[in-house]
Amino acid sequence: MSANNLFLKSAFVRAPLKNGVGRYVCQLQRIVFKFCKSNGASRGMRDFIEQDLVDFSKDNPGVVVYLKPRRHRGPVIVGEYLNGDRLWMSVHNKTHEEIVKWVELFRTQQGNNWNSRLRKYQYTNHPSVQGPWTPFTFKDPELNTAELPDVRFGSNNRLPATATEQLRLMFEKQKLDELKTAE
Amino acid sequence: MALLRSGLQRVANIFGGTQGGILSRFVTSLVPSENKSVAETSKEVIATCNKLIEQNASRNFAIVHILGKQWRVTDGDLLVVEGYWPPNIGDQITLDKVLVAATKDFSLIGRPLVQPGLVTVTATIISKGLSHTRTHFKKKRRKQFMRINFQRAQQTILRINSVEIGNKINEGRNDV
Amino acid sequence: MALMRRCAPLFARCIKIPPMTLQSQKIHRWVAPTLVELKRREKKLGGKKTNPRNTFLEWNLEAELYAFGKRLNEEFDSDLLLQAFTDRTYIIKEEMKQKEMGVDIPMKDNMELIAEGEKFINEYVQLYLETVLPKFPLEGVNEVRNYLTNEDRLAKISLSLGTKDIILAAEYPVDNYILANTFKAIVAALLESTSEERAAHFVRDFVITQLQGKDVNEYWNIEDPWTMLTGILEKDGSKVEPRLIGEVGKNTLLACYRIGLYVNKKMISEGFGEKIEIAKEMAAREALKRIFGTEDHMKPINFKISGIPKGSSQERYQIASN
Repeated sequence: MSANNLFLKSAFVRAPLKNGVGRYVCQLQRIVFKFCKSNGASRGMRDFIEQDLVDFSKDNPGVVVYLKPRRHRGPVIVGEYLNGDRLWMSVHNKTHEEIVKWVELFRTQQGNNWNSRLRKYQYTNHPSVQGPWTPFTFKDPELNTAELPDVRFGSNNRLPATATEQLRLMFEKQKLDELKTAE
Repeated sequence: MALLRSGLQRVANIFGGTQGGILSRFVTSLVPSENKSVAETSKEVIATCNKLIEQNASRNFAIVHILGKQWRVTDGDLLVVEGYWPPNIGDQITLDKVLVAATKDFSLIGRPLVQPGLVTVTATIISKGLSHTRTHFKKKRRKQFMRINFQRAQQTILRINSVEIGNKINEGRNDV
Repeated sequence: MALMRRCAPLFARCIKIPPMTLQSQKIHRWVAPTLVELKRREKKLGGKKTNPRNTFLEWNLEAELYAFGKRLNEEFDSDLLLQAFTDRTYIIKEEMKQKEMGVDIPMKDNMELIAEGEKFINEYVQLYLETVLPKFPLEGVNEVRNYLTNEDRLAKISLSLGTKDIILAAEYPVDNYILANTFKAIVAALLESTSEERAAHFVRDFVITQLQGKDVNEYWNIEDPWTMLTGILEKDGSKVEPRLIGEVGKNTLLACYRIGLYVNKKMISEGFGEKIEIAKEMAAREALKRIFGTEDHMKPINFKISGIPKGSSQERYQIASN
């Protein structure tokens, strides 16, 4: 037994057929409304069909709309997408407004991503434009010819000046001043 | 005088000696020092950048600000913007809040935005859907407290069509 | 009796075990054998059957064809589009059926359209690539064109345009070969029902855009980049000088060398490798990319050129001819 069915699958952002690079293509290719002509559960669906369906298909000539009345069965919306996905949704007892919203969602999304979690919210083919960092970046070319170990390259020059060094500096400066005054 | 010279030499040894003196800690030998005033240098840098913009020979990228988040975008990228956002599918939009724009050779960093009209980032909305169902489960032990909430966020997918540096730096807009 | 008393806890433990195993048995005992039997019967009947979408009750070919054009923002001639979707295998099957029934309805297949579309796609893609990759040699352009117009690629494009269900063919699901051919036929149908420019833009928006995010150098395999580079530079009268400009981890498994190529003491490219020869080859590849104008940070390919561009294959630089 595998854990494939137990957990939510993960996915990355993709767009079918480089959508948007050339022209934009609406990804919903057909939508089927299944409903009952008499049952109360299909009430909202029937309202939607009476009031909004003609406008919907006029606004979206690229989507084929099918109506499938069936006796004593619950109302269902099935969307089919260009990438082969098929999305089935029961709209049992849903009101007219709710169905309008769901149909809008069916129309605007690009496929069935309902059972996959997005891992990243961005996708790029060019993660670095100015070139990735390598250990050689910003390295002194002199290092190639240097004979290591060399104090010039090997010295730890990240620490601040120690107290001893500061004292020595002050001492040297003082001596210099004394020399000046003596002259 | 000789004494003075020897003293100076000793100080010089301390400051710039080959034995890893103190001053060498602050000097990087990689940067060639040039005796030029700041104003002159910046003029030259801007002139070089303008020349590169004119050549328009490399891929550009930009950091844009959308809905409270910052994204690094280049041509052909996909972005997922989460939350309510009015643009509809198929819309072509320009992203105006550009924080950084850059080519292969230089970067323009805005304070906080780069000069308006300089950079054009265009994008197409390709999908508006919902995320997966996120479960918010809360439980307090021994307190008879348990809540479970489900939520789905709106997700808009954007395709970046182009990132273009149109005008020249520090020059007025062409289109105004 | 004492023995029995001593064994009692053991018995009790034996009895206690079943509830533990019962926990996992929420699925009825009959489910698995039933499923197995169903599967066996299905196999006996010749495997699982996928019903073609066009045999469903909710199917209207005319509406599908209308929506197909509208979806792609194109005005197709409806007869031509139907012809483009009609495969040869379908015609043969229909003719057999008609002979049996004793009727004869003439139908057209898409063979001519395929040939026409293929010619148009190949020519247009070639011209377009020559325009957007001005410095790339002809061999490379040809390889990229082959990638864009090969059967798999076109079949994938065709599938994503939603032709799979509409195609009239004898088999279902349809073969890649038929999918690709249908795409070619659609282009030809568009060419005939509108203008050459519309068809060109159709090919640009669906075929050329496949190059988005791709590295064009990957399609052209250069066998010996070093010889090619020196050959090119020798014609200009300059000489390449490879220099080792960095090395780490010498004599270890994780060795890395960095080689820079210099012409007239100016660096033209650099390459990395786990061996010096490899680094040199990589540097040569980078230099070639720079000469051909196809570096990693090249200007993105323009997917918005309108009309049919003029190619430059006559004066174009060819590696082989030199």
